[in-house]
Amino acid sequence: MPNKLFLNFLFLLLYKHRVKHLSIFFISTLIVFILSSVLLLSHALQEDIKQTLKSQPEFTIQKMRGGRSVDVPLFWADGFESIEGVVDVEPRVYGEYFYEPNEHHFTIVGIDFFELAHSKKLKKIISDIDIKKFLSKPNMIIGQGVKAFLDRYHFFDYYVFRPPDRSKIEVNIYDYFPKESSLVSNDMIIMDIDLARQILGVDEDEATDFALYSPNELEADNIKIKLILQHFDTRIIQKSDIQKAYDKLFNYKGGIFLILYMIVLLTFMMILYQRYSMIQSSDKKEIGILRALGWSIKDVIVLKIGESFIVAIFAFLLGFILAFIYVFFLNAPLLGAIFYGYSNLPTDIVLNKSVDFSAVFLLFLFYILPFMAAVLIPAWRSSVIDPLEAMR
Amino acid sequence: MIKLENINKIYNQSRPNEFHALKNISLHVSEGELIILKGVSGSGKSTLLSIIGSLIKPSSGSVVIDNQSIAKLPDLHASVFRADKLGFIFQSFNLFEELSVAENITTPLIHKSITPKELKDKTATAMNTAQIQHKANTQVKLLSGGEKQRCAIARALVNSPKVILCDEPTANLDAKNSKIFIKTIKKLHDDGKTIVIATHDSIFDSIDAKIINIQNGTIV
Amino acid sequence: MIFLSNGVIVFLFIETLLLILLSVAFINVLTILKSWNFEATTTKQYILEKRSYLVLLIIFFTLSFKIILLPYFAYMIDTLSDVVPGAMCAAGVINANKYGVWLLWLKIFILFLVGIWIILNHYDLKAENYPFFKKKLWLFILIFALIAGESVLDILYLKNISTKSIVSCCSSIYGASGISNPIPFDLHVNELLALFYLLFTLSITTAIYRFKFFSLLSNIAFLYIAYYAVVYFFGTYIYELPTHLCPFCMLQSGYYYIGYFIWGTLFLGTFFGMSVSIIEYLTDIDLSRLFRYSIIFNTTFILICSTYVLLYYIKNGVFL
Repeated sequence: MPNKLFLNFLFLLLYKHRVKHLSIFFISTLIVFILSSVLLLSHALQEDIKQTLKSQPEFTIQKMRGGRSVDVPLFWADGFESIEGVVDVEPRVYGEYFYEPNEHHFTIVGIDFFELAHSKKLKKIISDIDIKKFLSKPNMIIGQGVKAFLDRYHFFDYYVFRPPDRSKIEVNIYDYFPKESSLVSNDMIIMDIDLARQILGVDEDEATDFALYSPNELEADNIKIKLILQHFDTRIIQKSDIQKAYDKLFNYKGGIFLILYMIVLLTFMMILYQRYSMIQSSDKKEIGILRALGWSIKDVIVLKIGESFIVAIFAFLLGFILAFIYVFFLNAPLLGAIFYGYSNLPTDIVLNKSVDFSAVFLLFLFYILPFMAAVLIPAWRSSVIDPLEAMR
Repeated sequence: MIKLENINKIYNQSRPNEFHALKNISLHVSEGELIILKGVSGSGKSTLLSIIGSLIKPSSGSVVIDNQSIAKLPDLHASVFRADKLGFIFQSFNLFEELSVAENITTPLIHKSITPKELKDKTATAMNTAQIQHKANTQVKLLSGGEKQRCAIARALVNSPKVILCDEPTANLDAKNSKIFIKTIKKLHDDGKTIVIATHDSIFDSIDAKIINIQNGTIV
Repeated sequence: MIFLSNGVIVFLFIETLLLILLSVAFINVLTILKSWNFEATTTKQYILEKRSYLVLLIIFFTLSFKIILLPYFAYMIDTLSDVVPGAMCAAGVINANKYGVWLLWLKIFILFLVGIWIILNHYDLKAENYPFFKKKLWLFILIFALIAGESVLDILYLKNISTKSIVSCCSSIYGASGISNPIPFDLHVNELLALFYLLFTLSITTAIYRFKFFSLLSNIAFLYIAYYAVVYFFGTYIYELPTHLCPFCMLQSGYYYIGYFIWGTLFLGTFFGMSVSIIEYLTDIDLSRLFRYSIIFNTTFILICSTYVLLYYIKNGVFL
């Protein structure tokens, strides 16, 4: 039915009447732009977190006392190692170090550089590092947020920590994290595990928590039961729980936005309906001529709907491309703040360019259906006008 | 070719402003005949022409054109009928002012399945017959009245119709162009087309045609 | 919790819009049916004829979207398995409450009726006197009633999916649960397979020789048995795991979305096999040429299924 000649004619008419469609085109582009920016951004952030989580341990075990978590004794590790399916138990030392003059804090992560099997991201970062040289004196690797912060206070090469025992520990800045990992490592400082113990005030035979690794996800539930049986004063955090919590948070933020957006779309539908219901006498005449020349009501409906559809498609493409540029090349100014929420240190993020095609399809449905639904009745109404009357 | 039996057309049926536009009109036109419907404006000749053109449906009576009954034809079929058998020429040309001559002439063909080559050939033939081929790529709004009329003729001929219907074709033409128009009509008549012209212009008196006078919706 | 994900929000929004449009069409259908008389030459009849174009336009538009929405629904349910604890694929989510399975079957049944409506409409418009006009409008009223019911079920179902309580995963839903054999008529898998290929041959034969009524019967039987054959036999070859019994996991990206093709071709193949005699019953039109599509889709379906078994055999030298 809509063959090449028909499309040709359709574009010809569209071009001749371009002024008529311009306002609708701009509004649609704007709508698509905002909607797809939000979806692209939230998906990119979700992907970023998913990537980070991938290298995370299957379980994290904390010791609880009175509902607060306290440091875990190192000898627990033997018990965990005896559980089948657990391939590695890693005591971790980390914590928040508060910078006194201001209400900011850094996240200090202590690392045992000789047993670094798991975090691929960390591995990549320190693969270029000469470990011997790094460990020869107090050194640290800091995130971009920390760097910016320290620069402000003129600590370019080193920083002086004040551990709980009121001593002073001077630590050199050895390297920085790349910008790509900013979302997670923005306020992070990595250093040797013993140095971290000193600064955070953790006893030598204790750790902040244990990380348990298991290669088989399907075994996770069994391991969890055994872990619960070993100690009664633990909190066990499973990787999939973290994943679900993040998913929920993003769905929630995106969801609120979508619900608000429905109102916008409904308004847009009314505008469309109004706009396309106004049939000018010149339009009427055009339709009358076409009908007299052997076009059926159906042909005219297809023509009218085709016009709107092409406007909609082009607006969609333009809006989406603009959103892509806005999110991935301009790093989503303004909008980003909504998603990052309050952050301890200002974040400067370079997002990975990842697009979820099912989300694009979703977006397309969400936009095109209201658009087309709003023009159906106007299209019909203009197609059934009496050709004789229309040509007068 | 065209057979009308007891055609009635009532506008605004069973409303206060009801208007009986055509009353019991019966009319037979055989193939190749040239008919002129004469009458003042409002006499019902345009309505009659539109019923023949299946643009409006009669309130009662039967219309048979080329052995096809069209009085009750659903729009989907009526439009195919129009596209295959009829060519229209209107009083105010009714061209797309923004499009070129060639584009205008192709409009009756483009919703059909037809190859670009066929389309080109048919358009060229029609333009030749109407002698407008030299303006093929000119926008219609830049044409003179006579050229517009020739473009309209070419458009009416492009689907090689059996029947050509003209509604006040010379109303917007000067005497010279009217004469050219009549010459073209004569030629089409000689080619064997069935032609129906609704007009009140006396210039058509010179033509050798069957003249039917319409007054207040009846043939007199 | 009804707004489980962005997908659900969009899905409900679209369903609502479509329902509103269909309601507009429904009201128009009622007025048209009340005073439709094709023989009449009154202004009213002509207005009704014009109005019928609006009705057809809306119905055509919404029903086309309904066709897109069924696979989308399956996809959405599948993605929800991330949010619903315990669910590994759509099976768990569908069985999260008692409405899920009914909703899915209703959606498929509606799609079947939509297919018949579209064919009916096509032949009605082709004739010069609207021969099936009233039938197709009554069929629409039936579809509209079902879609309204579907919307209620949609909301009931999505509202009652809990993100707290744990649902079963597919292997515990479809897997051998104790002593009772889940395959109908207490068939062994080999017998099921024999019946499956037998019914396929029967459906092809009835299609080739155009035994319309028998084609209807054999396709119903084929659909029923094919479902079990895919879940209890062919599925295991797709997953390459003899204990993995699930009609939904194959919809996931890990299996290259093959499930959409398998269920899609089965639906289309049996749809054309069954619809010929149903439409003939409604219209007296001989639609035997549609059998062609039944043969094409059913054969494609069986080829996809059998290829998985063959490939597994070629790769591993044994059957599961």
